[in-house]
Amino acid sequence: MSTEQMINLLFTATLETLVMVGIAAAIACLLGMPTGILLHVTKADGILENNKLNNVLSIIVNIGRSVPFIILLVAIIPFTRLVVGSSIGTGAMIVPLTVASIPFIARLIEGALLDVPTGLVEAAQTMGATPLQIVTKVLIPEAMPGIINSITITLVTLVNYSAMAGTVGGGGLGDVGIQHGYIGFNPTIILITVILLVIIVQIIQSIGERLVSKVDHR
Amino acid sequence: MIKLANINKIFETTENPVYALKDVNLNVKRGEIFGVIGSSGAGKSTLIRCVNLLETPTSGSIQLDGVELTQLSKAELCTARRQIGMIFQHFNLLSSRTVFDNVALPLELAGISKSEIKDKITPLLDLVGLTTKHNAYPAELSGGQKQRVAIARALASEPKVLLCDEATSALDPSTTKSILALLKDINERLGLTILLITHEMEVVKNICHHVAIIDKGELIEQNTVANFFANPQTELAQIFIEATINLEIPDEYKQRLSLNRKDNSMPLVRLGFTGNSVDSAVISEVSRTLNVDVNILSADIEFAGGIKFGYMLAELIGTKENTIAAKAFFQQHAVNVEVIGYVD
Repeated sequence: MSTEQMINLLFTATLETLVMVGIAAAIACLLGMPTGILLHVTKADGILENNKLNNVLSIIVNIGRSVPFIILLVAIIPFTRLVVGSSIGTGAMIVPLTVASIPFIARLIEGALLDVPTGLVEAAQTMGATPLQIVTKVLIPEAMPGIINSITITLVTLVNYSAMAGTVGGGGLGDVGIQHGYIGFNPTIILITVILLVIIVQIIQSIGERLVSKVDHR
Repeated sequence: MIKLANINKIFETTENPVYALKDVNLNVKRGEIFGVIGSSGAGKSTLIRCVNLLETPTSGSIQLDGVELTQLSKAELCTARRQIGMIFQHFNLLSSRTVFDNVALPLELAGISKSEIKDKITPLLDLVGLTTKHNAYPAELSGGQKQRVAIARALASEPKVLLCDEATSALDPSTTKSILALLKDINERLGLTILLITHEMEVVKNICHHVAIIDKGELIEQNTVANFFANPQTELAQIFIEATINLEIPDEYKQRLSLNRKDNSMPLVRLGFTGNSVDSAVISEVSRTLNVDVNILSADIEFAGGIKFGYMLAELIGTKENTIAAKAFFQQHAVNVEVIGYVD
């Protein structure tokens, strides 16, 4: 393989990883955050206490979190096919990545909201805040450092999961590492993919930390 | 303004039900500062949280300015709560909002426009003495300043009453004083009715008009502050009053103290002044008319609710007959006399 070919290969793979992780994270946030909020507010003594809903959500989230990603990846192939029309490729990989990270981010968000002192919720209640106002004006803004942290952790985990895309013929750096590095016996490629993954994780982490320090006034 | 009638609150636990409030009746008049004092665990927090239904009473009626709060729907309760400001021991400010935005929160919740909010908040922050802190975050403020923000926030929706849940308990003595002065000022200037709970007699003494004592969920004594100090009815009231008074016998005197009168030994007495004590210069009268010198070791005389009360530790120096006469003279003037012992 020429150097130019290798650069092209790695460049495309990096883009694929970023696209997979980015789209999966965006959809997961969109669905996982409300789930996390619901988990928090429907708890016993929560502002919208609802034991049944809480139990159902909790069980679904637990199931989602207990299936190893590599199993989930193949187990939901029919569903993936239904959504994107195919079970191989970068597009197909986005489906299991999203499915796996929804319960993951939901639990993290729930934890972040748990860190908001109950006194603040009470104070808002004494001001006549409705449950929706408590969520939008108190819980989310006060938990923002924790929420950003949760998203950062989810992104890093997604980068990790995306490396398993190779197993279903998906793209991305992990795939290149396995196909060209391991099977094609090219240690240079393995080394470079690892370095690229490390750089991506570092960038995600430092952006996350910078954002947290910006919104954290505690 | 606030009327609680036959309030009971029972917490169901796995073992025995806990009676947090037992048949509580309380009537806070418009424009007054009403204090409820009690030890921790007496139920005072539950009591004040019942007033705005943060805690739902098991039975009983809560009226705010004639409106029965326990009968309101959830939405009506949200609106009614805007008429009840509340401040807390730990301030409960939003860390993500500046001072200005914290005070703006109740107005935002009520759907008031941005420009109107600005017009309202500036004078409020002036009132609580935070003119220069609009853009500070709570983390940058001292405890006293945080409570000032909380007070401004509680006042923003122009409530009819202000509830103070141990509002000064997390503050140092001098900050406590300044916050109490602010509450008093607000009460006088705006005519705002205040219901506060505290475990510190200091708070009651400094700003309350009426006081109630709560013990094991029951209000065992209620009175005007003046009458309360003048004539405490219950043992707990006496304990609370005495706790505000700091009177110790100096060690040097302790060593010389004996329980029986000897020749040349002089009585050491504790004089208790209550609201009933005749307001005259009893000490100098005793020395002048009975020829007894009064050697004051320590004294703590306070002024609360318009009456003078307190204790004095003094050695009565004179002949046996004269010191006995002095004792009688004090008693005639409704000063309690307790002979602690005799010093050589």
